[in-house]
Amino acid sequence: MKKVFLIVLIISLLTLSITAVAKPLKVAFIYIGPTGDAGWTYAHDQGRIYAEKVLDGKITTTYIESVPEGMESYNTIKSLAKRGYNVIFTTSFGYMDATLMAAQEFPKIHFFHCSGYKTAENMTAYFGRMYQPRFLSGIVAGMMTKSNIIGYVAAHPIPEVIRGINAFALGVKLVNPRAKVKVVWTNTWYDPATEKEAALSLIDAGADVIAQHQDSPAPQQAAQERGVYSIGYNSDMSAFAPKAHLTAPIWNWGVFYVDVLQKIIDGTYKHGNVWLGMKDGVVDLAPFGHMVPENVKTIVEVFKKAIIDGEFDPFQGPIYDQSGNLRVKTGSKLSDEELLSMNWFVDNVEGKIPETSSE
Amino acid sequence: MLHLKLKIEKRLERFKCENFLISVVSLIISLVIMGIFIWINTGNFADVVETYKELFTWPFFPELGLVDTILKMIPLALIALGLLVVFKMKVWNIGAEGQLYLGAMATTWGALFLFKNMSNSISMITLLLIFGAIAGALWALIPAILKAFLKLDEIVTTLMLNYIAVYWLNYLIYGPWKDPKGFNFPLTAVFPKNSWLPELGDTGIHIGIIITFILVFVTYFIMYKTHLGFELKIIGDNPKAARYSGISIEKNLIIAMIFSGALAGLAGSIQVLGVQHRLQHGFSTGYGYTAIIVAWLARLNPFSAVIVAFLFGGLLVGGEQLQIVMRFPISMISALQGLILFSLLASEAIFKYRIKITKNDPIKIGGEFNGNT
Amino acid sequence: MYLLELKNITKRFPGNLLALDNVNFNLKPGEVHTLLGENGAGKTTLMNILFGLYKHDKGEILIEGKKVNITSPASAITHGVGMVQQHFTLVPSFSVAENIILGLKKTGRFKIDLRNVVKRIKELSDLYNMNIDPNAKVWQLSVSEKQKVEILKVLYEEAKIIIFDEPTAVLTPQESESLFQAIDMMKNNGKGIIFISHKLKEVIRVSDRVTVLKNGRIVGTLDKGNLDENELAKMMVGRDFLFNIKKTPANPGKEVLKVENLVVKNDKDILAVKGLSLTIREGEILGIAGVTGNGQRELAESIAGLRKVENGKIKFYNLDITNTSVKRRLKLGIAYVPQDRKETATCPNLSVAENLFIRQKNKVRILNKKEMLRNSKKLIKKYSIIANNEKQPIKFLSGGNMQKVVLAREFELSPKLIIVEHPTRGLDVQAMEFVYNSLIDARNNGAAILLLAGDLDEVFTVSDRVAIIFEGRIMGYVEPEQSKVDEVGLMMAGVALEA
Repeated sequence: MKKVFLIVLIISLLTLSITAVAKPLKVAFIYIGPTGDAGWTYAHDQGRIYAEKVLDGKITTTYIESVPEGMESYNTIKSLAKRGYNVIFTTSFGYMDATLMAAQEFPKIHFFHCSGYKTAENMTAYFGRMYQPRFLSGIVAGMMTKSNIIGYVAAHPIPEVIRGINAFALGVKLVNPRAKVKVVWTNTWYDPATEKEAALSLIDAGADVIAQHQDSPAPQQAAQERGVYSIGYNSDMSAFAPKAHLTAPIWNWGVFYVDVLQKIIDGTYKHGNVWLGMKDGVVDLAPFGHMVPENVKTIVEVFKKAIIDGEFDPFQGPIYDQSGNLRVKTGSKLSDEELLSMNWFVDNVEGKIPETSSE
Repeated sequence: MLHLKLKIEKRLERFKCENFLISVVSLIISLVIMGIFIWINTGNFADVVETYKELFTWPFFPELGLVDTILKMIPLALIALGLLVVFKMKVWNIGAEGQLYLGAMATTWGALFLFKNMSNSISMITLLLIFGAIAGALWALIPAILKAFLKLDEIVTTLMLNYIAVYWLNYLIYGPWKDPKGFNFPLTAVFPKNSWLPELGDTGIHIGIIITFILVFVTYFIMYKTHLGFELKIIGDNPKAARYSGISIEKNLIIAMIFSGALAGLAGSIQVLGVQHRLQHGFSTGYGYTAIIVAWLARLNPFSAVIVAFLFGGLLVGGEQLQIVMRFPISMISALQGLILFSLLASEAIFKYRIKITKNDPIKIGGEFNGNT
Repeated sequence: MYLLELKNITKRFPGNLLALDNVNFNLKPGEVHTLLGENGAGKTTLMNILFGLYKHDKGEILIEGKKVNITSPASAITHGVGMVQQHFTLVPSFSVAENIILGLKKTGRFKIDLRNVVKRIKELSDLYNMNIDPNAKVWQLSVSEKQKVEILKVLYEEAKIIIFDEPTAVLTPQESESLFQAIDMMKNNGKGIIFISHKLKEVIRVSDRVTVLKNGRIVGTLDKGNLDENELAKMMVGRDFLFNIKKTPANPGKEVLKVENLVVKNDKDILAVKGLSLTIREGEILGIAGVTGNGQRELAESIAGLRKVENGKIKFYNLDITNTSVKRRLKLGIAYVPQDRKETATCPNLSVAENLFIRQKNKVRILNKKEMLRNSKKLIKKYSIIANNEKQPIKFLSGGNMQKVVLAREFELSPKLIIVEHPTRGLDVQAMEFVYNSLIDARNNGAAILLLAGDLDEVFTVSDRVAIIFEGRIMGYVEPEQSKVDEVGLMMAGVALEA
């Protein structure tokens, strides 16, 4: 009986046509992790929800979580195209080639790829200058440390992460030249157990402020447990460690998403390579914890304004690397090209970048 | 006093096409349970219908996700074919993932460094595929030798070697093999076009599918038509009887592991040459582990393995689509996939055993037996 | 009054194998009553029924005159029956005391008063000179100490009836003696002891009464005064059927097998064959008689190539084949029917046809399935094997038919030497007759046959010459037609006859 029922069911289902008459803009997001990670994917998903709210009625959105990187994601992107989605955001570096391939196959669909560098007529490469708020969070850490040892739980040794560490260390150095930033690599993006272990090892080594680059709040929790301070990442992580969380460099993707989607609706959007900073509102600092004193807040505010106004750049000279070489001369600053391929540490970082290629 | 007792016993008699029927019925059961699960979750019966529709249409229709399903089927089927052979002799190679990695790494080495200037595409691809197969085979040979001569448990060694393979790959793509033009990102350069597997027409499916089908027949032939296959069967059923029959367990173990590793290595090779065209993180989504389940559900039959691999590919592809259409979170998709597996395994147990209710009157035990001699 | 009475116990196993046939057995308090018999005689089955592990088909159990219904080991323990098993059931990481109270019902409902337990164990240990520390972890203990823990467990449960299932199998002679002393003390404290063994010497040492079991039936019971190794051996292996066997006088030809000063170890790494020599000629059956466990199995396996030879030589037509592979011996024409047809001789899930071909002389790379099936059909007919068809898994066959498959396979190798171990164990009379006639036919066709069996009548019916084995050595040879049962019994008990 069951079999007959199933066969009838299948046949009746097959005869249903796939109806997709779409008036509002159909927008899809491809995520590397689960939306509940409180980190990278969460930040993007908050942006999606924000855009849906602001552009109510003009767009509908969907997303796919935990899509593996590499060319296999091509078919996932393609399936969204086949389902009539007009705008597709792919939010991890590993989707770059797949996104480009899909962009070439579906010229009428708008593609946005986050954190890469390849573009096309209908494909934008977008990212944020996270190093700006990271620099500011470095100022906070430099002023709050007593042991002058600041721990940094680093993810994978790629330019984005290295850049963040350097900006952070430069912020520290600005207010506290004696403090060192100790780096431990986890080689993970989301592995709470490993990341917590790494944070604890830094605390054991004397660190009294912990910063991080992964998507899980585990290092925050480690800091809270041991009674030291912490600096989050991606989104406001204070709920996970209210006693430890000083602040966090965070993403505000919603601002960007609303902007581009509105332009697409208006038919005015031009694709290209965009790298958005604090002045665009895409990156920012989370609200300060109650333990952050007023003088710290004031200094941060001063530099925040200077960065937004373009009067100050975290990577302006003089900057020395770990072996004491002058990398950036006084009066000049690093170009975007140099920032995007950064593979050296500034002088107050303790740690090594594993096995760099011999270019 | 009358006792009622539930007794579970093994069914001895079997009926025709039993295995096939078990699979079909358990699939239906799992779908029904899944439907209830969704219904409870969303409170809307229409969602259940919609879910079934997605799961049965998208992955299997040419205009929709069929290509994707087939591309996922190829590595699953190849690895499963290799695993059938070792599982037959009850050796548990769970290192296919690592062997797959080694295949991909060796192929990358060949494509980017050793033979990068080769002009003949066919010979280059052939060479690279063989390279991948050999690397996978050698990686499998390590646990085989450890088991044959030192009696080390292969489950532990193959699993450990998986981790080594993953770390090795990380070392290479973060270090010496990093693309010089890749802005320091952890991936290799794109392989030369000559090394890419050709597509069948413009279907989007590469020739790996032909290799897979050829190997189905090869595996079938080895398992059912050769003395080697017969020996593996004997060892799997009763190693003592194998020794008594003059069969060298060690020799067969090594041969089977080499075969299994070679196929996993080949799958890795095909993935990088046919799909990825470069080596990077996440080039395998755990195919080496999923293939274990595929081999198992196929009941160690090579032809079933392809069918099961195809359905599994469909399940993976359909799961993604359920996210788009139904807005199910990924965790729910994983739960559904697990549910289907669980139902398959559970119904096998239910079919193999039967529950007997016996009236157990202590005074009359064995009363039907006439004990005169 | 008896402490325990077993009346008319009958048990049949699936496949209609009659394991126990109207067995009566009783036990008085303060007595050691031994159950003696070959492997498979039904001793362990009977005790498993008493201990609630099996259900008997017929008969009743009385404890202190009252009829009881024992359904599980737990209910056996509440009735005062305890069993010291052959295989230990201890948790290595737990202490002795923890192991002893594990699964016990008499301790408090929620709380375990371990201190009292330890005290009680200490008392018991001292009482029986066991010298066991209740707080020691089990993994630290030696095999004999683990056994003592098992015994303490039974004593702690205050068992009145204690079963020892082959307790000395794992012990050295010294350890065995101290076990016997403990048993003597338990006896003196009024416990009833059931002792299971097939070793004659220790049975005589420890028992007050001995009941001999054979093929699931009671052969007889002897009291302490009448215990005698020779008599017991005869009871264990004697037989009460007559067969229709067509046996012509032997016509021995060339020497096929020559074993010289063979030394072989058993699975426990102890010497089992100690410098044994023998020869067999074409057209001759050499029978080896002896009580099980005197090196027969190791002798057979070393000739078949399954067991390493430590010392000495095995020659086949004057060719040295010591420690060559099984494959080579198959090619030379050495067939082997092992004693455990399910564990060694067959693959249970493979079909009858496949089992007929697992031992092939010349291995071809490509199988010819059709020919295999055709041949199987022929063999099934020729050896009248009862099976649904040749594709049926062999595990569904009865013991006798399974044995026929093994014999068919080995005879079809057209072997020059056949080693046969316990070929008729568990078979019915007709199947036995078939086996005997097949062996004699093979011998008439010129094969040399080495027959190892526990059953004296079997050895004497079929063999042309009989060697008596004891503790890994040949005690002497007898002519089957003229031998005196007394002499054979003595030799089986280890007394060498003057030449």
